[in-house]
Amino acid sequence: MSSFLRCYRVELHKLLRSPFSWLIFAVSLAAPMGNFIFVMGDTMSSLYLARPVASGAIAGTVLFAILTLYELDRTRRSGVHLLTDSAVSPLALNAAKLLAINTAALGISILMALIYFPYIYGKLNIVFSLPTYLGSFFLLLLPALWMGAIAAALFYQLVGRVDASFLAVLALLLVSRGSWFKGNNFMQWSLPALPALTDNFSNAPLFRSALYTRAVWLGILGGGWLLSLLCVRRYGKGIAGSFAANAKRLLPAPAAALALITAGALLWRFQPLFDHTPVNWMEVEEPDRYVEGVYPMDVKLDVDITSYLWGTLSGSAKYQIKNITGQPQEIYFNLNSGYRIRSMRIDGQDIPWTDLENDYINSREIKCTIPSSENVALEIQYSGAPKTWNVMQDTFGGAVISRNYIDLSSANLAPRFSDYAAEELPKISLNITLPATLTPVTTGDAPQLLQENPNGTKDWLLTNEGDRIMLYAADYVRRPLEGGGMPIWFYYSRNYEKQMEDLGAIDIMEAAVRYCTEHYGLRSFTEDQPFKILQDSVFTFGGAAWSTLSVMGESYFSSENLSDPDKGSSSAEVLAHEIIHQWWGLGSQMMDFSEPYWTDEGITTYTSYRLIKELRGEDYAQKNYVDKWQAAVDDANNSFYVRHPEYMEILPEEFAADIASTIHGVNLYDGTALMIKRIADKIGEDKLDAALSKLYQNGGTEAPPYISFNDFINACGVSKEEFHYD
Amino acid sequence: MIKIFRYELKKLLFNRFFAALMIVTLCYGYMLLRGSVILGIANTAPFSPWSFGFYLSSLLPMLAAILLFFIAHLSSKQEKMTQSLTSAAPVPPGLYRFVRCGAIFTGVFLMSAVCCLLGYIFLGSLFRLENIPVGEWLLPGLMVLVPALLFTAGLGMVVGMWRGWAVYGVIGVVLLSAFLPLPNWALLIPTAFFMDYPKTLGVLDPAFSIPSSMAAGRFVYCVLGILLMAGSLRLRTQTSLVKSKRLRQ
Repeated sequence: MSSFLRCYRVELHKLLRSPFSWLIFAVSLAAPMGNFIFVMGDTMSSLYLARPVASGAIAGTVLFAILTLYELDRTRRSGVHLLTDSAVSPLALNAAKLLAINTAALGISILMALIYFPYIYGKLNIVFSLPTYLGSFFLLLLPALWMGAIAAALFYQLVGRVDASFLAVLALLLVSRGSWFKGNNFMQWSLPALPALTDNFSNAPLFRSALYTRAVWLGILGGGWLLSLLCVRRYGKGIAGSFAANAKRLLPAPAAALALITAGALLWRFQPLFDHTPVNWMEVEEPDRYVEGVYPMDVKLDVDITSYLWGTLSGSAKYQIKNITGQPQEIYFNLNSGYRIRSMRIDGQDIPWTDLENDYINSREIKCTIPSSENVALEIQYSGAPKTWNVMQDTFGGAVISRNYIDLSSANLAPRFSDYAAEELPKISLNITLPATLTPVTTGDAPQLLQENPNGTKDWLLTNEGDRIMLYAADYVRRPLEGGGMPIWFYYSRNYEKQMEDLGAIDIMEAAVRYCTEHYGLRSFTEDQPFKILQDSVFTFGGAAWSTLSVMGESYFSSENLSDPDKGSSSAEVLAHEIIHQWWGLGSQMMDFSEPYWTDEGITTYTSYRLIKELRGEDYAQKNYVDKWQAAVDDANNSFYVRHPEYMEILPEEFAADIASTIHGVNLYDGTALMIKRIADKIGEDKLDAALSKLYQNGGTEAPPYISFNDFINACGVSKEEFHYD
Repeated sequence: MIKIFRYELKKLLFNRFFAALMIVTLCYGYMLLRGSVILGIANTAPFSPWSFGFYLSSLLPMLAAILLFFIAHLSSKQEKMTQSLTSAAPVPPGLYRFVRCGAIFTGVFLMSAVCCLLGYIFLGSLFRLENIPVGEWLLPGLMVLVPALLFTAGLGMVVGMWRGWAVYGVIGVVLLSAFLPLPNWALLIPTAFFMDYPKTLGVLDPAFSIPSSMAAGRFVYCVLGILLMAGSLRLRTQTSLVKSKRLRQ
């Protein structure tokens, strides 16, 4: 052992004196500046932390693979390998070299984290999070350098050629990053899926997944490396002879290698992160579980978060079930695939249940039989960590349990009663203890604080009508939005407390509410169940809405996105766009099966223009909206493929779909908004507003409640011949 | 001289590193063709001279880096070890080095030609070979490659004469220049020119043309490249003369 350590020290010393090593270190240090790896999210952390780290990780994988090959081949290249082999075991030498390179990788990662700190800290400013920063550098970047070195050593020891080994590493990298395995997080041996980093909520699912996939690949590559170490050529023998000779001397090594590979494979096979929804999930027919005369009356949930670090909970769900059929009945519950049922009891007696293990969009069915009695009290105990739908394994959309953010909805929170029909909606209540810094927001009534605990937590009671609760909790600031004469609460991250006021974001959101209410009509919300607008994590990639709750991705609040010219030229205007969606998109929907461009986006973009015109004047609106729409539409119309559709037809489907998607995007927003503007120019804005108000209040007639393009054209009193999509 | 040139070129073309870099460049070229070029640059056809110019310009940083990488290799320790033998040959060392750089330049130019062939095959397989105006590709191809590679090679030779490792710094400078917001005429890597200039011409599918300022800029790069190469030859010759004079004294 001491000779190995001596060898390691010598190799490390040699490595640090080699100019080639320093070239590799210098390029590795510079690589994050390249920003050449695309990251989907557009939060500040995605732009200024995830992208540099991803670029550094991928470049580092290649660079450290090169360095490893250079170092491993050094004695052979200099023609002294016969001499060194007789002095030091080549196995020990190779192992010492790899360890020295990985030590250097650690040093470079620390240096990188220090060098980029001032820049990234300056850019992220109020949304900077040290755990996210450290996680990015030491969980995403550093292991990428290690993996590159281990993979290169593995191939070199197997084939003994630098060129072939380098190409093998490169090929392995390209294959994992290529389109074949794009959505497969477990194939990403170099850099795990990194779609975005949230600024204000939790990156825990991403880092947990990174940690897990790192463990998987460390097992597989580590085991492979150990096996390949035994293939290092000795005594003039070939690969098999050398393996036999080396294995004889290092008897535990083959077993250890196989154990590592098996451990990696088992971790992969039985991974606890993503569910097993079938690949053809769109073709799966959901079974009909409706039983007439069986329905829940009352649901009481008691949920205890058992580990914020690993994101686990345990819960108890008590159901008062009405069974008026007079027969025992099989009933079904949907529950997130990551939870396991611990017990099911009726009136205190354990009953059998079956887990159907039919994963489908992150939940599976649990079956049990209830007796013929009219009122049944069923209690289900369950625990585990929620899984993410496997389709979303590279975007991490789904349930989150972490110390600073909770997103648990419906079957991610508790078993959900399958299809039923009842005259009255059941009442549901949830008792949950949360860290004192978290403010819960739900679809139901206002959360009741039961008590504050001395350990820095709070007990909450959340209630709702129905059989499910959508629960979000984060360090939110709650602020009322005025305008329109209805109760609106806006919940946003405390990080933005100052920025929100500085940007005038609140003013413009209120102006948007006021504008829409005045021009189109009220939305029906009460003081008990107000309209809640919620800033949510970037991993939702967009927005969503359930009954009284609308969520908006946090990136709408990032200073980069707030200046997105497609949605207006200032930050606050983007928020206005999203507020307007509460009328066009949630209050009322545009849809036409024969006009794919006729959606809520066009009318929302147009309404944003009208609002901004009212607030900032015609010149400003013309320059920042109409002129930009026109330029985008002209550009799309001038596109080679639009002018020459015959070429589009001969393009392979994947390319044609990409191009069509770009053109579709322009028509969806800019094209439709421009067309509505042209109609307004012809009939007058007042008439257009009256038509839109009528449509908003009454809905469409062609495919109610949706408003079709024909409904709109007819309401405006213009002809389709004059105003149409090209 | 021709014999040395042929030998050096053959040695380069059969070098395993050259082959590996060729594969990497072709992979990058394929990604460019598949990702950007296929959409058509500046609203022109994907097979237009403008799109082709964009394709080559995007490849140019990699080609220039490869060129400089091999020029840097001329100053490596291994090469210095063989210098005592090569300097004994009846060829001035400066000229010998110039011929070797010429072989590298030709090798990288051939690599560019293979990338062009990849573009031709890729686009031809999608849009039929008879639709691909290969003749129209010549001008943008020469306009992109010749000035940039000449200048890079010249700069690399001069810097390499001073310190071998400093050539890696030139690689960094060349790569960095791709991101600098320079006017079109000053662009060493003219990617931005192919993206923007056609749109300013006011017609759709414009024939390939370059403004006179751009032509002058490319010409200046060519001249500078040749001057730097000649300078490096002279520099070497002078250094050798000084050394030999010192030896005689």
